[in-house]
Amino acid sequence: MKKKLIGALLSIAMAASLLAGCGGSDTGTAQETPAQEEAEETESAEKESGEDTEDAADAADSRLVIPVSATVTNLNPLLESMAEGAFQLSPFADELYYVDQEETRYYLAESCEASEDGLTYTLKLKDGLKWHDGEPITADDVIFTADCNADTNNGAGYTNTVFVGEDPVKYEKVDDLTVNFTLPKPSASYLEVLGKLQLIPAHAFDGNTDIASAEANLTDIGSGPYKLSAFNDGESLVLEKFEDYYGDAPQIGTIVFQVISDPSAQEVAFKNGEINYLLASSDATVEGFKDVDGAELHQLGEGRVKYLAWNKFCDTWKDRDAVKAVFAALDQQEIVEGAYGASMGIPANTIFSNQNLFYDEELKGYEQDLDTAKELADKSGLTGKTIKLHYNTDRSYMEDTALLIQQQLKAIDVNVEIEGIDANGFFDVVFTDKADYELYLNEYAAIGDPDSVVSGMYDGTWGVNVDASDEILDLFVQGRETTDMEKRGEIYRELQQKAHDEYLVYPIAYPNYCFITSSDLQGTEECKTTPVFEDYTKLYFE
Amino acid sequence: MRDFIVKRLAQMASVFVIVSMFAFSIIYFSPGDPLYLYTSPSVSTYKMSEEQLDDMRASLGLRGNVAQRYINWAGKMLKGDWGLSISNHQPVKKQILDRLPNTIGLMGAALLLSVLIAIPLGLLAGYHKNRWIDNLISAVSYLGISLPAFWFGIMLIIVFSLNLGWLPSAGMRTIGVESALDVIRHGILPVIVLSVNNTAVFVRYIRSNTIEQKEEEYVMTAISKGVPKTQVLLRHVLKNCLLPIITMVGMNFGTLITGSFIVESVFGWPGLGTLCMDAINSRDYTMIMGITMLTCIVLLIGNFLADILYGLADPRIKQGKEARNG
Amino acid sequence: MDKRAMKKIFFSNKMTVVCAVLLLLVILASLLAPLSPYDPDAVNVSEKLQGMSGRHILGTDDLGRDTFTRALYGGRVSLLVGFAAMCVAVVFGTFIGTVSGFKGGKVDMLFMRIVDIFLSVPSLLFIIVVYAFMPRNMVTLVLMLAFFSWTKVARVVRAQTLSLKERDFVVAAKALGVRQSTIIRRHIIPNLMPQVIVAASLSIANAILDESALSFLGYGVQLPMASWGSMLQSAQQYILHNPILAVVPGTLILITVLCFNVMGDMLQQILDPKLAE
Repeated sequence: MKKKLIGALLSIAMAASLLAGCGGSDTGTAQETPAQEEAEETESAEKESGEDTEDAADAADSRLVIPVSATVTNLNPLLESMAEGAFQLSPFADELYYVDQEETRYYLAESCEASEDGLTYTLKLKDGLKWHDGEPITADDVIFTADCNADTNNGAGYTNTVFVGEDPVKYEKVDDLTVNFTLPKPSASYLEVLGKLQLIPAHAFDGNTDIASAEANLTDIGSGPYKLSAFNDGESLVLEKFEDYYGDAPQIGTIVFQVISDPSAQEVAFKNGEINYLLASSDATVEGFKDVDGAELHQLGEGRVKYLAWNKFCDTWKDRDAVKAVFAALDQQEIVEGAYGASMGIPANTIFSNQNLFYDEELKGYEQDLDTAKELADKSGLTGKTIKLHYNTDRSYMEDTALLIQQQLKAIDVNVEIEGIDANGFFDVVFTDKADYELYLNEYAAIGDPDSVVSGMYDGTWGVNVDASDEILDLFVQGRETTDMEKRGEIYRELQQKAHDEYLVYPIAYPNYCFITSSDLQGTEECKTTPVFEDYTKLYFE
Repeated sequence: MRDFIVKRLAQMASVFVIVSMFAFSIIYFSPGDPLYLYTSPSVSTYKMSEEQLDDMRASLGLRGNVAQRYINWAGKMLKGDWGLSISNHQPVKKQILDRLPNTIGLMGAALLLSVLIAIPLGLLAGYHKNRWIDNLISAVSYLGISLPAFWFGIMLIIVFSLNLGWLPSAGMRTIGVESALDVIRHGILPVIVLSVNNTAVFVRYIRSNTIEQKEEEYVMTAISKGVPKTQVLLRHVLKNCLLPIITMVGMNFGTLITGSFIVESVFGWPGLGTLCMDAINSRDYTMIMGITMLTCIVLLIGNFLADILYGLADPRIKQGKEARNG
Repeated sequence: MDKRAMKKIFFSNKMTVVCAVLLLLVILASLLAPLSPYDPDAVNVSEKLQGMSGRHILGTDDLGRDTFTRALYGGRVSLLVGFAAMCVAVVFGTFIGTVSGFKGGKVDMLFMRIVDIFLSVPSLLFIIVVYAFMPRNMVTLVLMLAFFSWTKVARVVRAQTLSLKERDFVVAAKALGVRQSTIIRRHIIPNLMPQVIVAASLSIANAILDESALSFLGYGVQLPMASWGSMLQSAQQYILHNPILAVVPGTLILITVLCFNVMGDMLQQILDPKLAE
């Protein structure tokens, strides 16, 4: 009797919540399309008839659900260039082309050629490309996208396609499908940088480069294999197959990015079959999915470098032996094993990542040598000191890494005070000339060409407090201005060696990007880049 | 009564202004630059010059000293313009109002559940004061008050979602399934967690009111006349308990709001709480201000309504609020 | 005294005794934490994420640290934060409450309006907003928690002061021309003690709960310090594989808060049966 009563109360309460809940959602999903309704019907049909009766038509209406911690804030790829946003917009907006270690894969672009002097790049678009609203994609859109990035006032994130250093790149339309980009000075990484550019349609923005708060950011303005179906802020982004896509026809009907913020909740949802993809957040997760039926584990090098840097403005490091003492006291193996675990990262040996074009795997990293460390610490007066270490609380593994470093430096009688700062405050501290802390943990992307983020980390653009010698800076410049790949290889090998010899920073680990997919999802091995997936048309359900 | 309402409204307005100034200055004086969203090296390898940064500040309303910025913000707020979010440049008001129904729904369901469970339990416990049933209910209510809500939520997820697989673990609906039942299934765990604390508080309150009422003469008479227990409780005791219950619901609005923020974080419920946490993490100060002010308004209105209802039912209130403050 | 009333007092005392013993145990264990053979911060990568065993009675966490030892040290932080926040809140609240109640008039009006303001803001949201923008350390944490909880103490104290003010001994002292501050110190405050102790007990319980909620949301004490709340937060990542990491601190929070709540209420019934009804 009582149970019944409670049950009745519960349903009344839920009904009340429902009224309110639905009221809100109606506005969000107002433009639900017939295709989505079809997908729903199929899903319910599937549930009734069981999974094995799936036929070809069902496969086309299938659904891939990917969990994310938050939805994108809008659908403009220029404003969503950070990893989390780019991840969700990648089926929605195509890039021009992608330069990989062995090959270049073309998407919107037909080709992109550099002139003899390396100053002019001729970009040719494929013919017959269409925006999701049916309008053709032309050189005007390229020009408009470049204009948006050149207008530094609007938050567009591909500024490095229209500036080399501080100097602007000139760009002009040659014909309806061709645009010339002319650089103020040679830049070897420009080809790669330009390829990553995602276009936005000039007509949707009426040619107005003040895109930050434009209405069009929330409409279907994409060029990729999937177009907008429904966008429920904070809840989900639903994309559906774009029939007029220029490339191979997408094989999966609907792609859903669903907000499940907690990693454990994501794992539960994966185990319950609610989602088809799971980004492993820890070694324990990976171990839990090894050799499990119904789940497939994938591992990719993330192309990032996690490192420990010392602040050159801090008096503690006046004597370089103090730095050497710290480097010699650290046990890299233990840090990587402890903070990352066997599957989530591998020890780093250079300031370039293992996914870098010019990564030198021969170079030996720093080795632990406690006797030398103690001796150097004594000599330099580091022994007995308390030093401060900052880390970014919004980055994975950093907290554990900091704790391990703290413990390891205890061995040479150095007391480490740890202070975590969240992402936005963090860069205000570590990319300045503040002198009141000794060490910090940071990371940067070092995938592909080193002349992008990596050089900025050392030449004073960002990491103003790393003590890069003139020789190293000169090597970065040489690397940028040389176009011959073999010669560049030489330069960068020397650079990595120099950085090691000068105790520039302590590279800790190259993290792995581990994700798990339900085993009926096929074509995942085609996606070689992070964040996955580069080409969603390759995915299909079996 | 009219004087009382006018006085309360004036008081609410002043509280509102003070709270807004306080919140605004905290955010103003905080370290960390909201512009990092556009300038951090993870966004772009291009480094902006000082002038460019300054232009950007101007366009985001981040220029000027604290007073100028506050007046600017408050003026717009009064006109109904809550500003643009720093992180996505969309109007703050629209985003908040989009999420509000989800939070209100959660809160409403939890409140209803609390009241509906607390009334019978409280009456029962009070009526059988110090008997085993009272002791049991009291012990459970102590547990309810002392439970860390987020922990309780996680434990429920482990049991009901992972081990038993009965209920979904997160979110508000299964994508593509637009049925009421689906939202209810998603809502069961969050609503339970959110209602636990309030239920316990309400039970204790109703219990002590029941004990008080039971000693009143008319109740004693009714009992001695042999009127059935349920009838005594519902006709007499509950009727006289309603007033304090209403007041208490109004007074507990604050706990309910902050509670819903935590519950939303645990269950990934797309409401104001998750919006607020995201805003705090990205230093989206227009959004934080918008949410803080909205919560403040909701709370003030909740308290106000409780006061009015209390006043309507109890003429003594006309003599001033002091009696209650005591 | 009839049988039922006696039973009531017996029952309440029994509960109080049980809670007091439990609390003492928790406090004592936290104080004696250094007796544990393990260093709470010492990492041991080769022993990470172990289950319960003879060596580690409650297993180890993701860096191979002994969970039991960390829970003891975590208890120190949680209890200290709770206790310190309570002290600040009680001292401040008692001061405002007595002055407000004793002086009456404009001072009372002003103070009570301020209290009203505090009651009209969602406190945890405000603590998060403030704390997210402030340097994070234990002092600010304690001040924040106290800042939003003194009003409860102030209200109780004020009400009690109002009634004490009319008592003979206070009236007499006033008539004798004793200075107001002396009256407050000598006659009012000592007689407030029962209410203050009760308020203090409930205030600790709330502070510990709030601290754990803050830590859970990522705004708690900073490394390398760990409280039960921050242990819970870091356990969340492993909750599916090593749920014990979350069960231990969660249960400790629950027990401690429960005991403080029960003790507070029982004390109230014993010290002042009329108020409790």
